[in-house]
Amino acid sequence: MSMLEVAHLTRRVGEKVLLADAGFTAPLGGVIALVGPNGAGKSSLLRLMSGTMAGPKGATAGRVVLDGVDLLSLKRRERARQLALVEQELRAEFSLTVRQVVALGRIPHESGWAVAGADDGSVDVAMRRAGVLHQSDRLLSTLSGGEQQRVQLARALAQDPRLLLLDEPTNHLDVRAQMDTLGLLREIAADGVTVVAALHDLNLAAAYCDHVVVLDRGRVRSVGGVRETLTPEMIEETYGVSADVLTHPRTGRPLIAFSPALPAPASAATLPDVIVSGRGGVRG
Amino acid sequence: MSPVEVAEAAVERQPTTPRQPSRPGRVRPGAWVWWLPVLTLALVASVGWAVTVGPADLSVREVWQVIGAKLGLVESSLSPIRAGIVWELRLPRVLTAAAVGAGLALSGAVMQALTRNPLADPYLLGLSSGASTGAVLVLLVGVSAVLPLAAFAGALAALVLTLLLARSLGEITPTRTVLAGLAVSSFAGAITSLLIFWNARGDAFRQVLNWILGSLAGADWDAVAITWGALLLVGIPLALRGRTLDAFAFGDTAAAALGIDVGRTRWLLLVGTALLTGAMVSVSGAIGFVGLVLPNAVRLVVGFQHRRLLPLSVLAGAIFMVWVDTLARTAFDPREIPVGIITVLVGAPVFVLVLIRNKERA
Repeated sequence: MSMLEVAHLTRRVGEKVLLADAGFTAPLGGVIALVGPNGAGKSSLLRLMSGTMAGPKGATAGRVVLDGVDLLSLKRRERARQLALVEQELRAEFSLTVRQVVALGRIPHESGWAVAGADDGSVDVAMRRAGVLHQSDRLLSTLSGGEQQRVQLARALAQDPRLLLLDEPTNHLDVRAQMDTLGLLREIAADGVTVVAALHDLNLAAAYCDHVVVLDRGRVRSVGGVRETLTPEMIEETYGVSADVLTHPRTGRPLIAFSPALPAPASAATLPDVIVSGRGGVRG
Repeated sequence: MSPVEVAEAAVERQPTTPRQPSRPGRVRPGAWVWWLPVLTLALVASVGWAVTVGPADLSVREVWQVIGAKLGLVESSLSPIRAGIVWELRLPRVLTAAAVGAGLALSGAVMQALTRNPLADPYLLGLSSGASTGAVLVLLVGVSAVLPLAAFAGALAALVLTLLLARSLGEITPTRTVLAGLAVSSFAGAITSLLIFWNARGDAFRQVLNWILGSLAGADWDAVAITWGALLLVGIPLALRGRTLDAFAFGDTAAAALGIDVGRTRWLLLVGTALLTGAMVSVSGAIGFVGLVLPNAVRLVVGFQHRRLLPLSVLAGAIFMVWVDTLARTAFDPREIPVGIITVLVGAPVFVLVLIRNKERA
């Protein structure tokens, strides 16, 4: 089976190590979730994997190997034809239509000097795949958060990538838009694109992803299927929260129930105190 | 239901909004292609008309007779003095105005894209004042041969200073950048005035006015050579990088992920705008707001894409400058006012409008 192999990615800011020699291996063509608490190094890992941020001076650049090709050793433009990145909370300072945003994804496939872009239909195909074709002449700023996220996905698809990296694609979206976005990621993966997405919501990771990479304080803690990685022990140790892993009654997928470490049901009036002491108890 | 089925169910409810052509937020594509030939014709017509306007009583036919004769096309019967008014005063001035307007508008459009700041403008960010200081400095030392280079050095120094200052304030926002530019341009302007008065010869007040406010009163064929040379050598390569500038729409990381060498591109293009601004300011002084007004106006009409925005800003800037300079030299006949007064009169309200449109990210 072909694999995605990520190895030796390190990021330091001053003395602080944000990511220490991180790496993992996962099968191609699925949705891989990157989970871990804030500051665990999810964004750093994605940025380093995308080649848009240099590692520390003097260290080896690391590897992101897809089907035997190290994407980090490619020229920028060549890499941008294989790998797309969708950052968190993207916003433009100018008014762009949906079609104009999606067409940005064709830049790595065009000549930078082109006077008139030859649109070979890839933009329409990308918009159709992401379900935004009917909005192509709308201004991006007039769309909802979930719709804007779809447009960014269409832009990434227009790059025609084999590896798609997303940083918190469900941030600030309502439940429906979150499910919508992850559903789209599953479709993209079904077309053979390997998707790596940093996710806050462990239940979304459990419901939609094939593989999970758990990051904790700059290190990869565990890698594997959802059942192997999303365990009560992992959640207790990395997030400091006690949880039970149940089975979703309809999908059969893991369902994580977090326990607010309370001794007994509390009345609303005493709740704040209880939460403070409860958190302390868990951390200690 | 499997997660994939859940996902499909979620995807299928897609076309919730039917097509509504009149809905605000839709823009009509395709109309922009007409603007290129229309503005080109308008520029040629504006230049052709502007040379016939002026205090000396010359008919349109006489003016074109002189130009035709100089180009060896027709015989001219006009006196050398009347011919000189056309050939040595009006024509170089109108041509210089066109190049300066084009160069400043292009610089503004490129800076706006690179800094993701609709308020970016060579004047507001201090480049023009810095260029004036550089130019005045070498004029006082007496090495006017390097005038455009000194103006370029001044523009570049001011730009670097403004950007460093803006960055030191924390996250770079449009208004912080403009505030930093205000500090730099005020300082450079004061230095320029000081240099002129310190070394006062002749009409120092007039010189200060021309350098600080911007004027094309001194435009001769040398000015035409400098400004058109800069426009062709620096402006054309800049104007052809439109697609690269598009890539910066969502910031540096997004541009890098699209295969752009962000550091190198930004440095090259910003040096290009400093060169262009320096060349223009070395003949015209700091003419304000041209780089802000024209690109923002053109963007309202044709939208974001720089392959359209840059060439149309060049043409619109040239036309605008030819007209306002004609106004500056004729409206208060027999006196002439610095053209920068008019561009600021137009530009300051536009600046406020752009500020209001972007108020949530001030």
